[in-house]
Amino acid sequence: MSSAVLVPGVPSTSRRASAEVVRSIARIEVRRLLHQPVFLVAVFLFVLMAVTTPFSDYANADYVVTAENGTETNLDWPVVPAFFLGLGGLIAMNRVAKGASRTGDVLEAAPATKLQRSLALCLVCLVPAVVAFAGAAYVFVFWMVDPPLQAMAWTEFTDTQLFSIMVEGVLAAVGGPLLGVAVARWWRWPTAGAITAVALILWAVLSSVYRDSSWWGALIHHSSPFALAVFNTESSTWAQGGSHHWRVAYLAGLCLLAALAACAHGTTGEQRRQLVRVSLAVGGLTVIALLLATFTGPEGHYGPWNPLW
Amino acid sequence: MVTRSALAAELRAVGWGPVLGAGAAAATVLALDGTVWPSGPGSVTAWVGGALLAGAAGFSLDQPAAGAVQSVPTSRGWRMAVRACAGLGALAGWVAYAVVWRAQLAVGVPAWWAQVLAGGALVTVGLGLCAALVRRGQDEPASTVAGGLVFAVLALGLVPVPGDVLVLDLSGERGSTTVAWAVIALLGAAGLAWGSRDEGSRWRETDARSAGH
Repeated sequence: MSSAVLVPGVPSTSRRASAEVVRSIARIEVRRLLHQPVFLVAVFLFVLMAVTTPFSDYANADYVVTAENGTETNLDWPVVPAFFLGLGGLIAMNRVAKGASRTGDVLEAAPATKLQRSLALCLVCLVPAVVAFAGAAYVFVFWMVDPPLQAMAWTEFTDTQLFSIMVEGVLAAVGGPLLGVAVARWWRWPTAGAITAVALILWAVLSSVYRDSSWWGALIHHSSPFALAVFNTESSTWAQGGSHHWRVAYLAGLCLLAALAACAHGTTGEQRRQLVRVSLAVGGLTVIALLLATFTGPEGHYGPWNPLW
Repeated sequence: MVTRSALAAELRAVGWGPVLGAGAAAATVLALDGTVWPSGPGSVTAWVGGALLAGAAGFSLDQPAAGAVQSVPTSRGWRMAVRACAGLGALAGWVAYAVVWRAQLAVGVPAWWAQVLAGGALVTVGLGLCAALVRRGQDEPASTVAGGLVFAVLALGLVPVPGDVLVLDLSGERGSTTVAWAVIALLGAAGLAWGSRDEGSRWRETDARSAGH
């Protein structure tokens, strides 16, 4: 490690040494994340849900469709990693990023810049992403081997769209923790993590309030980071429509914006200006991706519950 | 009056900002549930609001000024009792929400006692967890507990509970649901009681008895 790295606030002269600092901090932060009870419970519940998905109300060819059990399951997969790993990760990473423990205080004194510490925290968010990816891959393999043919709207999606739906769940699982880091960096209030989690939940609830095929209803639906691909109640059915490929791009943009927001805290001068410029560019592309997700792709539909959808 | 000054000192040591902030957020969510999204008790928004209320109560047990407070000659139980009164405020907020909701005759009405039991259990478990964690040496555990409660009520709506228990059902018609909330409330009360005990009080009592002999 170069001597420059050992001086707090002074950026490393060597990119390799700087990367090593980031990796070292990330390793410590991963251990701290794995000590967060909320995250451990979230991972356990996610794995439980993922493992049992192909065996619990799995609407394959042998599944008996009735009005009671319906066929709403299976394509609602993206909300599983989103709500468990996304929200659980948000709360846990918010706690980790605030450094509210003895290890956190030690890390604050570590010879690294704020940007390096933020980058390390963003790297830690790959842990829930890896868990979400493993679960998504497991369920996707089941989808391809023994398709849930009777799942609502199953026949309306191509394989690549189904793949995109899976990726949406993974991105939600990484975006939640990244948002937790960004919020911890900019909003040190003790209630910040819980209120941010609630705001995300309300956004998700709002996304399914407007159950019609209007463009603004679709826009609100697609804008929510946590949203169902299809939705039904005891009496009605709603399919989101729009392009899931572009929705993946939109969610990736949100993740990147959260990471940039986290990294921007503590930077000054040219470094801050550069991050702002990149953020504006990414923000613009994210908005374009949202509009494309809303206005391209197949049309959504809304109506009385219909097992054939 | 030592008691009055100690009470004033204890109340000054409470971090009222987070308590009121979480309470205001909960009130906003519950107000949204009653107006913009009239879905009522049992909906996601209502449960999230309830969890935030419980979190607000928990913030009253945070000890940002632990060093100063511990020098006041009062027992931990007394201090916890003073702070836990915020829990009554949170419960009052939940009951007010229930009353307002029940006044809307056009909507389905859950059993009032089931609603109060669930709200009371949420607040109690929030206080209990915070009290236990404070005793375990964490001065400000409420942020984690509040987030954990929000996560928990959401998870209870997604994960099937063994024994076919519908934890979020407020109809009052399922005995298993009532038992589940009663157990949660008891666990919270046990945590609060354990967290309120002075460390080593058992030994002091033993020493006092020995001195009496």
